[in-house]
Amino acid sequence: MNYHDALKKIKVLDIARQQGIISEAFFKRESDTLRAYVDKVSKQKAEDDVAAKNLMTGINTKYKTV
Amino acid sequence: MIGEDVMIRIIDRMPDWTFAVLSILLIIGLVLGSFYLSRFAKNVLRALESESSALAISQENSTLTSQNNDLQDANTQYHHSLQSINHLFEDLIELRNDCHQTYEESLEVIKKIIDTLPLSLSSSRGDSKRCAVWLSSPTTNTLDFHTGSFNFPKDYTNSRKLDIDDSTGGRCYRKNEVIDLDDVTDDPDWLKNEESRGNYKSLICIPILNLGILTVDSLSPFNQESRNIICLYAKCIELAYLQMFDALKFQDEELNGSLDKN
Repeated sequence: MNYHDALKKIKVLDIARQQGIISEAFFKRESDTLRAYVDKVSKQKAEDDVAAKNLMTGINTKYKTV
Repeated sequence: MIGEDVMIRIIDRMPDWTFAVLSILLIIGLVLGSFYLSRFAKNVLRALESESSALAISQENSTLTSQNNDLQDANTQYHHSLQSINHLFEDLIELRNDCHQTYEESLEVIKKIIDTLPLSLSSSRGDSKRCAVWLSSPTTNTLDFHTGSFNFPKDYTNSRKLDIDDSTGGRCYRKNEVIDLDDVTDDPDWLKNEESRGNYKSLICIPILNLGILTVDSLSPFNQESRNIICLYAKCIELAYLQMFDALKFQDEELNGSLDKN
């Protein structure tokens, strides 16, 4: 399951919970796992963005000095 | 002058009955001449009439050919759509028969339906269509983007929302009615998404159970065949979502059962 599919599933689980299709326990268990995954991916993406930005800054500085 | 004199002498020497005969011949000639002239005129008139009727027939033929082409297009569109819907129903039946069906399998079928729908709608050159399912979120009073066809941006899943009280889609959900707009800019509830680069002008919104709505955007107005096909696809989507909730319910019950055993 990818990041977007995880977000979709959280949404569907929420609707299913509101409509009484699934139990609160099942909702909590599933959505907690998915949220943990989504948070992890978001964090990783933020870190990657920072690293990419730093890399670009480094490259630009190096070329300017050269 | 000599010639004239000769002619006068000849006429003077001619007996009286000659004039009577010549007059009769002249009358006969005139009658025959007018008869053939009227016959010629009738023929010309007939030719002109047949030419104008040929022109009318040609025009009617071109109208009928165009109507025939339209009907053939509609036939082809229905044929392809029914073939696609047949495959989708097979997938839905397979899901239904699988007692260990999962949420992911249902989502795959929904994605397949959503991706097939724009391709099933006839489009002229340069035309484009896209569709998406939006699910309601009572906590934020919005319809949140859930699943869209390939021509929607990927980040819509987490970001794009429609206000239930202040959008065209929201009105469709609120009033539980189909909205069909040839030009969305005419709708008082329609708000332009400033971030969107698409120039979609026509919109159809269909309620999906009490969960949300299906939207189909098009660059040009929908024809009646497209409307019928979209309604049929909306029913498929409803079935797939029901199946998805069944899968979740099944997983929940299975988990509860295994917990009870432990």
